Amino acid sequence: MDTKGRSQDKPGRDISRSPGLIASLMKFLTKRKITLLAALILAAFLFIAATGPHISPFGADALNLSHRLQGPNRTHLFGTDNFGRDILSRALSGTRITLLLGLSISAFALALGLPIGMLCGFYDTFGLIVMRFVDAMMAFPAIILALSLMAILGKPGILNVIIAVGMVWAPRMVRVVYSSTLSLRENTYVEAARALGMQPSRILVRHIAINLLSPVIVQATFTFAFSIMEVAALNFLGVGIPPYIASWGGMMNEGRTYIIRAPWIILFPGIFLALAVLSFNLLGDALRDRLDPKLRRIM
Amino acid sequence: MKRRWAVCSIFVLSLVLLIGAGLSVSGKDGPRYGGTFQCALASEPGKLDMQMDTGVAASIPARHILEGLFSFDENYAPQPMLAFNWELDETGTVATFYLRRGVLFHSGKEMKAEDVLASLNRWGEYGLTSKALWTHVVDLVALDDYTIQLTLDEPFAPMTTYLANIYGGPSIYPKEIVEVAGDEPITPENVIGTGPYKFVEWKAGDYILLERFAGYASSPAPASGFAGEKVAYFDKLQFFFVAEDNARLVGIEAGTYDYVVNIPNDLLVNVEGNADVVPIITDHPPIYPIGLINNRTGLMTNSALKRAIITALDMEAIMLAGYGDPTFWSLNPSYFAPGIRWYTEGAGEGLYNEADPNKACQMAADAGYNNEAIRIIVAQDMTAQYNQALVVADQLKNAGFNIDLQVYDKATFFQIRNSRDDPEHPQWEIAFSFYSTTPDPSLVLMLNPAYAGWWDTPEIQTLRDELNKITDFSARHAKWEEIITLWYEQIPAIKFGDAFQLHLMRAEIGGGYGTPENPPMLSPYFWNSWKK
Amino acid sequence: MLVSTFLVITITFVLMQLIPGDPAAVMLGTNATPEQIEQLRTTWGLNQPITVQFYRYFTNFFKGDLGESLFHRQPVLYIIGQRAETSILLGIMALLVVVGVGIPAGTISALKPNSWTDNSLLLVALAGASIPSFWLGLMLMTVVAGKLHLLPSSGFTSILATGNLANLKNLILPAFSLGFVNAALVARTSRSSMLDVLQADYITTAKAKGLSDWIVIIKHAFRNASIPIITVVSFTFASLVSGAVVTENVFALPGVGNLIVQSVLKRDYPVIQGIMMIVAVLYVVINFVTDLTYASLDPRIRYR
Repeated sequence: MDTKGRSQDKPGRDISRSPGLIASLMKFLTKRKITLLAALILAAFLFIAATGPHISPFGADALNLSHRLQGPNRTHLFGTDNFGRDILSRALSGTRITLLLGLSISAFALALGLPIGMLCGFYDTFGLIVMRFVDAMMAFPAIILALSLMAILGKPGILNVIIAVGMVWAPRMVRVVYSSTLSLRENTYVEAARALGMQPSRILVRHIAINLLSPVIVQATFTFAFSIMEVAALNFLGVGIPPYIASWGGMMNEGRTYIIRAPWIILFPGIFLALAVLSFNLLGDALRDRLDPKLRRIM
Repeated sequence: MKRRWAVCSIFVLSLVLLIGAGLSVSGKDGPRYGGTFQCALASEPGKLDMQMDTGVAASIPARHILEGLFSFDENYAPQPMLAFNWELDETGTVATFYLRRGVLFHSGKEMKAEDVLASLNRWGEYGLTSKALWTHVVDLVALDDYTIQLTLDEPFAPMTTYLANIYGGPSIYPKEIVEVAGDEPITPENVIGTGPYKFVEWKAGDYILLERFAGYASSPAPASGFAGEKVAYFDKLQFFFVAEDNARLVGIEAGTYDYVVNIPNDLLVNVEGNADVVPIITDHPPIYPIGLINNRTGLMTNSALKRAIITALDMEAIMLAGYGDPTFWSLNPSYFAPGIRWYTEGAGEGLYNEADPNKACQMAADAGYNNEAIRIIVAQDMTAQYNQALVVADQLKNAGFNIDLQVYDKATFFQIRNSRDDPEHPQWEIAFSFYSTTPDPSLVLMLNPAYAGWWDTPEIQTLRDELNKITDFSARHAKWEEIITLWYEQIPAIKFGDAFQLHLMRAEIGGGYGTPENPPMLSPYFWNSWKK
Repeated sequence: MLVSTFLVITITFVLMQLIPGDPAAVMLGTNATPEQIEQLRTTWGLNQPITVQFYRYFTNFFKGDLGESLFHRQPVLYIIGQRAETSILLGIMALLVVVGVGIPAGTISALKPNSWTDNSLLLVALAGASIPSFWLGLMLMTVVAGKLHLLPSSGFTSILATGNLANLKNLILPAFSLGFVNAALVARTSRSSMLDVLQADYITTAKAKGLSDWIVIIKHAFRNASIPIITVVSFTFASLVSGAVVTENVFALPGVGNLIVQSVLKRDYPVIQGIMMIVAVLYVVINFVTDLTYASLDPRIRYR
């Protein structure tokens, strides 16, 4: 019985069990330059989100109609929009709401996906039935499902966006948790625990949940990347969060009219969005390769 | 029977060709027949049945298909269209309309009194803007095939204005169509009128296609605005729905479209110096951006508070945000624009464009304002209105008001704004909208007690009734002045200014809506225009 | 496949039950009289038990009756049908971009792993996968159509109706901005599957036999690398549909994607529901076909 050897390549062991967490994290980040770059970009976004209004030159919503539609200049580094609002300040302010929404949506998907996925993986009949529904949910292309949910939920709003986009990504989370639980269940220590008469709920929590950590983290990272893109698309289409809250997608929507006269209104939030999505994608890739290369198959 | 039609249409056709030939002698750029005119609209209409639709989007194609008994000339005076003459008896209550003979529907059938009767009756019962007139109608009969008589219970001055109006107005259809339709909107393929173009196809989300009606019987009067002679030079009119502003702009630059409507004013700089594109700025008549106020119940029944709110507003900034460069708007406290015969001078003094937040704050306190939330609602897809609402909210916040800005999509916005369900619990205080000039003050929607805003104080009730009874122009004008004075006492709505619209036209179009030959009216029309 | 179709329809049904309040009242707006609402409830059979409603809903779907648009007052299927041409053509052209750009780029990368070409292609692919397609579309529209006047910026007129093949040029920019993002994904997949295959023994044998590089790639490597690539291309369907929604909106194309956005804005629930069902069922069918393709490409896979 080579349990030790088998558990070595199981997810969730490397980071949590290795002696120096910080050291291994640093090693992970510096192993590939591109991962480091992604981490730096992310750190920058986190810094912007945390400091928010303190570092932006103007208020995100400060109207200044005598400065409207100015190109990038010394006062307004990224130019101004049709209300004379500072694009840089608005793009910075949009960072916080973007990260918050990404986080809430990932948390929503996790809160639904983790328990459902685990139960499905553990109880065969239940799993078979529910997974058919999950697969059917995944047959709806993301934006179409999100749009329809927004229409059903009614008013544009932050909570509705979280629910609509969260409902799109929850089934994908269920899928990942389900497949991982299935493979974990076959492990000897789980079988042993069962044979010893341990309660299923305790097995789920003590043996399976802990080991689900890495696939879940990886999937959450991708969910984050996809969901901020999708939120931006909803805001761009005018059915996301209320337009007076500065968001990257919303700014691009408002700037559509001026794209030929004042392309900077769209250019900069687009770059912010692309950078954020890129860094999360890169980080997700790196995490997946590091934590469990086998995950490639199910993601 | 068939032969007679053939002869008839050959006759009409050769007449049309003769006129065309005669006109084309006048120069190489002169009127010429042929071609498909491609026009990009900013939104897709819901239907073409204008008795059941008040939208500008629907009216643009529909105006080429449908006609009424009357039409507005370029001074917004109603002129006979399908009628050639009419008279009112000395009591002012019995009107007789004489119909033009030989007017054909697109189905080939001749228009007769029975069709007019059926159409007017349907309009009276279900039409969207018939109520004010129809409550006075006692009797409507055909005296013969070409004469109808309308009897009212009392004189109703704007009667012909109501008959000339197209927005929810009395378009004339064949009897068979309206009788089957009843209160259901007529489907596009059944929208059969007497206009110079007939309906061919509506590809949902893409375009509406019309084609010249060879049997069109034009009014003998000279062309003026919507009235008089209409010549269909283009073989076909194709109205595309292109919601994206830049798509319309780039489309006209590339020559994909011949005419594009409602380009955001800020984008004019993009076509400056482009010899292929002619900018059309319709400064007369302008449109009126307005903040409707919920006068029925709640906070806004307090006129002193409403005067405080208007005192806080800097109209220049509001117009700048909504309509861009100052060449595209002017400040005007009166409802009607200068140059329109209903314009009144000296309105709103000391209130309009005061832009004084401190005074407003004091006035609000005196009015008993206690930091209650003022809900401003606006539709995001009405860009100019949304832009204005943002600035108004900002200015009112600076004056110390507690503002709750609520942004909706158009559908929800109208649903909330028009909600009549529970008058005790208003859902909004200020709602942003815009209106085109009406030909007559009685058609001003804010005066309609059933319209969102629900201005129905005893004072306006009296003035409104008096206005509708007076037929003499200068007496009516004086009455309208009284109403405007009352407007600035009770503030039933906030008029921000007069805004102009920007359309773009290809240089190869002759005539063209908005040029001196075809002056701008309430909405674009493309007869009497041609491709050079 | 039948089970999935059934479930997809069920989900749509359940979702539409979630519209807050009385659907009839919601759809008629607040100005409706109680009589009008009651009449609509009867027409739609809303007063019947939910099981009966579901049965009707289900059988109607297979009869092709998806209800009537509230806004256009025409059958939903007819409205979607009118928009289908644009979306299908856009989809095909975007797929051409995906396959035409993605697979060659991935193959070239795999032939010279870690070379300068490989790294720069990888970087472009990574960036490509992170760019919002609507942003790319807007930028292309500004530069190619707005400044250079090379291609039309927007709109599309039916080729079936006009017979004018030149209309296709209206779809070039949208197809590119839509396809590019997915091409990046395909490039990455084809790179890694080609890498796996190229290291396999039979490739080395083939090369040892003296076959030229390209013949080896085309005859042996492609065939074996195709399965993961096909998987991604079929996944691409879903992402193309999603992307098409915004792309059609940006370029003002009269397609199904733009239709759903307009319908959401107008709360035209029957149309939303119809599009959801059709797209999801299409997805199920495409997955089924993909599975069949696997089986024909690789005899070891048997479709169960």
